[in-house]
Amino acid sequence: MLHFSQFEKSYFDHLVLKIDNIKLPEGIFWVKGSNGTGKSTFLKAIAGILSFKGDIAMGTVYLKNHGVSYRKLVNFAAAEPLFPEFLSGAEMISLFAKAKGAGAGQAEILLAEMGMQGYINNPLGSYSSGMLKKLSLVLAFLGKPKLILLDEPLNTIDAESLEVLYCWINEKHEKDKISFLLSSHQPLDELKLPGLKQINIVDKKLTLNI
Amino acid sequence: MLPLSNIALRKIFVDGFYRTHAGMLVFVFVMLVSYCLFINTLGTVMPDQIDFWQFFFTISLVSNPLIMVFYLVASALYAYKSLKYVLNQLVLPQQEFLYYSFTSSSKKQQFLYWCMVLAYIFIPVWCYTLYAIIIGIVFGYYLISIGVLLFQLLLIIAGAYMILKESNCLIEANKPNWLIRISRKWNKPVFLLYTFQVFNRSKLAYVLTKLLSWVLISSVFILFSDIKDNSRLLMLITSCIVVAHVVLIYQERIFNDRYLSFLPNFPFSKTKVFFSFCLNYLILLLPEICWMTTRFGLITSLELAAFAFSAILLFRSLLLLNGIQVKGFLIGIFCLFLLFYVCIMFGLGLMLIPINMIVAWGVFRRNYLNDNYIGV
Repeated sequence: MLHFSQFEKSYFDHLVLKIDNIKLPEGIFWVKGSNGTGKSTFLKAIAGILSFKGDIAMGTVYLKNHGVSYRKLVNFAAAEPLFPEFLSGAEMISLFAKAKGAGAGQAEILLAEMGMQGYINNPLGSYSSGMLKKLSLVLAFLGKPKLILLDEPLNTIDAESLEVLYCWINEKHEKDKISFLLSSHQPLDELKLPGLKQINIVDKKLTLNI
Repeated sequence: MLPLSNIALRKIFVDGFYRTHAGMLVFVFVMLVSYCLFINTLGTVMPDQIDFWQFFFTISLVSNPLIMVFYLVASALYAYKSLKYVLNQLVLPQQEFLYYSFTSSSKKQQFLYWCMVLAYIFIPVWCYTLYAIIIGIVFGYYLISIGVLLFQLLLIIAGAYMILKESNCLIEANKPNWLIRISRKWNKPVFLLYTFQVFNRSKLAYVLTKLLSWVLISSVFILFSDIKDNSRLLMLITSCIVVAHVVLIYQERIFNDRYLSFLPNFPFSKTKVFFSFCLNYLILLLPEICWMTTRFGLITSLELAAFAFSAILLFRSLLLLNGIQVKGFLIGIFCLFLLFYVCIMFGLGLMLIPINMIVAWGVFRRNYLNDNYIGV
């Protein structure tokens, strides 16, 4: 599914992560690593947000050569999302839906399941961090991605929303064959995410526990 | 505890103020003031006349009530800007701890600390005031000199009192801005979001930019009134207009890094991202574009607009360079402005349009995914 070739990520010549040649199969992955090991950097590089050496491909679609097609296939939700305060949640949804090519009615279903209709038309400046987090999760599910990257998805969301999130992940993986990379400090519930595989980042390297 | 509070406040508010307003301060206090006071005039001007004009501005400030009123208004604007900055910072989540830590010290101490914070922020103004006062005292204008100083002290005291009141109040939810209310039903393209941000949060910066733009246009018309080739003069004016907008260009980069960090994950081509942000400047430069079109005709104004946008694209691309900070950016802008000036004077102004575009595209392509965010 996801192919890394000669991947290297550095900040000011300080190497953060090095992946020589790895192919990740389809599945739901928990990216583990202590603070500062580069989990968010790893996800942001896959999302096409941060620069890096080498290349990443989804099947035959390469990030550096087919940037637009690649980004249609990969969605991302930040650990601590920050959006323009003057926009409303609905405006963010329409902005993402248009860019990611979401089908009609897709957002409404997601919003209803997350219980966000009550405040979706309010300006984002009035949102709590939990509300922003839920919005960013909804945005990550819009369109027709093949890989969804969720950075610290458990942060700040309530137990009910977490149940919904687990349901979405399972459903999308089973029905639409969407893969997930979830970075989290908190333990993910392996009972609710059957088949969860682990990726460890240790000493600037990636090890797969499949 | 008290000296530590002082250091913390200074780091949060004073350093933050200078960091945020570095561009504007460098321009106002270094370029304008130094220009007025220390520039050597070209041509056959007698040394006595140079001395006269160099002292004229400062002496007028302490001798002419009208000029003094202008200076007091400028000081009041500066005080307003400082106050607004401190109050805006106070409501940020990262500064929320002040509401349950600093506010437990006595009101008197808090007031003194806020006075000190504002006094630090006022250092650039103090420098000029002190200079004017020394000259005023030397020439015997005691009353206005002391009046200016007292007025500025009063501004600081009033500002500190307002901050004290605000920081001891309970935080209330902000009412939505008029723009948010009006534009609720408008479609907001992602590449125009910065324009909304300017009219939502940076109205003063926008008004000051327009004011500066107008001053520069008028100055160039006056200074270069002997240039017969109209196109050179117009290109020079256009480059001044773009330079007047560097603060907005810099702030756009900060806005994009902070609030549109998701954009690189959008399926947009580099070409689209490169050109589409110009939409913002089409709106922000609308007053100047309208002025050009009505005054110089469609063809000339199209040429000038093309030059302006090529320069803006180049300036924007400069901000993508690895680890560039405001100082480096301003130096870059200054060098480019000089280069533009030379090229325009040699009649090569139109050639700058493709050159700017090519260089801007090259820098953008190479540095689009630059991880070294600024100002965040």
